[in-house]
Amino acid sequence: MVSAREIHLERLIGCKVYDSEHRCAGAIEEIEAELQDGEWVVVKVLTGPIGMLTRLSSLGVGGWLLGLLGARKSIGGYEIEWRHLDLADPARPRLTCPLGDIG
Amino acid sequence: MADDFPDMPENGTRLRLARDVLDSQMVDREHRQSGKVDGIVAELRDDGRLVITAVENGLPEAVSRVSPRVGDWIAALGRRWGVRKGEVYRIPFNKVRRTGIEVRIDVDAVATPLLDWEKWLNDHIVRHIPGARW
Amino acid sequence: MKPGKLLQVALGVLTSIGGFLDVGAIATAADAGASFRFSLLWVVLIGTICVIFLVEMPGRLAAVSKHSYADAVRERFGFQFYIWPILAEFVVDFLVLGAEIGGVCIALQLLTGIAFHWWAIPVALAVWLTAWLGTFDFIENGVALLGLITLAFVAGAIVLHPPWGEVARGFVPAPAPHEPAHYWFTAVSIMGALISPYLLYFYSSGAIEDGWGKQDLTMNRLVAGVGMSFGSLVQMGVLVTAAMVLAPRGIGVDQYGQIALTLVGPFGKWGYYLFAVSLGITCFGACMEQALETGFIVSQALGWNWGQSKRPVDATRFTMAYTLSIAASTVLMVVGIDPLKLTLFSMALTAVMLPLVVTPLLVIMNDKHYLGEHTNGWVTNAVVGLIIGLTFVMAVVAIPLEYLGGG
Repeated sequence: MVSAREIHLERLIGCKVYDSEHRCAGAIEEIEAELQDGEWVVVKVLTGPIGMLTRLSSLGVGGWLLGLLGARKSIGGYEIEWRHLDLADPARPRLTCPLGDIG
Repeated sequence: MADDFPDMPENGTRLRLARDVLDSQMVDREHRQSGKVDGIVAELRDDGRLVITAVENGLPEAVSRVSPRVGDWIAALGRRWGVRKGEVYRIPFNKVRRTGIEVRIDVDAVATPLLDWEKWLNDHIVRHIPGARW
Repeated sequence: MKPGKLLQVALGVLTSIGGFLDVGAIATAADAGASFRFSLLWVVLIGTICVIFLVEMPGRLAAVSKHSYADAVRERFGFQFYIWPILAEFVVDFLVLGAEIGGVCIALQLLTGIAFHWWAIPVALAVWLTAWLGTFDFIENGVALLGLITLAFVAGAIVLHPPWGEVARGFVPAPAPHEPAHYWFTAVSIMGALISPYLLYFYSSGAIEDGWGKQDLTMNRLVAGVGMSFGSLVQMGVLVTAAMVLAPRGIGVDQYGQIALTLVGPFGKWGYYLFAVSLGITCFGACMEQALETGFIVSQALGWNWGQSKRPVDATRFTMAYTLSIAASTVLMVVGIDPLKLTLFSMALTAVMLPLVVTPLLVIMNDKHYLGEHTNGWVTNAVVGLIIGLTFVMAVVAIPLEYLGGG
């Protein structure tokens, strides 16, 4: 990371996200941005298997395989809104709320 | 060719950065292959928003994702012997568009460091070998 | 199908036949025939079925998306994943290219009596010069068409009048008749020689070089299916001739000179020269493909301008990549490493890295962003799944079997 305010998003991929009680929300696998008045703004990160399957465009095949194994409903991972993420230390992203509050 | 550079999409459009930008092939104004997106830079603003400012291309940046130590070592090698002197090249994100499965960049790669190695190898080695321009 | 397209398909099939054999396919099939007669034919059959699918898919990917397999793996799985199959591929390419250069050198040794390592540098220069000056069409079609001489093995097998009933039984999987460790090591080596990772990268790059589009999908299927099927007949021919000539005499395969006997049996003295020329041409073609493949995967992994049909000045990093690859691999033969031992070792190593290379196929070939409506059907997905399972088994057993039964 070059400056305190500059963040390399590619280095967030694979970083595990924890809440204040050290419960893990999984590793960041995908980052979603939205165009707002001419600027692309990060709005969400996806963690865990659901994030990885989204990144690989494999929710279809992955979901089918997991369905075969009876595990489709339990695809793990979270969609974490940007407002719930603290990147004061980009190498150690933290949740600003308890893990249970994330949908 | 620059005339066919896509306009900005509509407000509210969403983009998946790992799937659709990172590691994607960059194609310049003249539809030349111009490297892969090795990094994405964002700025944490005072209002709390994380705004994407640029994409990066450079081997040290790519390797740092696997091992920061090896990435630093490659950057040091580049500073000493590299054509780009270890610099990672940045393209402002407002000059980047995702089209299909490629990333179009509104630059002429020849006028940027993206093709520095290509040019150096040509000037110092390739064009001196007979048959290089058959 | 229009006549022009039919001609293209025919050419594609012929070049698949002519280009099917390489030093690994020859060595492993000869070893199989010499040691176990016809009982490993089923492995060649299964390997060929796998190859048909593994070649059709990257061809389809390239034709529809205009992206190669290497492009797609990096783009979907990221640099952190892709660096590992790429590094493994470099190691294997280095060894296999050395073995292929060695194959050409051995062919020249058989013809001239001059020791193979003296031929290493001239052969490497010839390979490099062909890549430097030749277009993709010339290399793919010209050299591969010359490779049709390897049909001599099919002719030889027929001339020797093998017991066809026993040959047919060889297509049915059966336990090892003897030396189980050697039997299964040979089986894994045959598969490693057939299911080469470079096929996926090279075939998809070739489809882009040839400018394939969606209108070429049928041709892609025909070339993969028909071409590879007929090509495997040549490898089966090597196995059958070895079974008929070497096995009855208890001749094992320790040197290429012994494999030459497989064509001496049916054709007498001329068979020796036929073998040498066949070995030289097929290995030369394989050298071209292997060297270019290194250039392809480096260039595509890093997003460089690439293309064998481009002049060297128009794709300098690509041309330097294959140049360095040829130079590095040549050293293996200059220092006199035994080409046959190198071949068998590198086939086993290929088997170890196969899962890394093949597994991403299941994801990419189902990605509508790349393939639109041309993603895999459930049958193809099931076959790919089985192939991936097979590659994992091979990866686990390859090195232990190398020690137990590799000789």
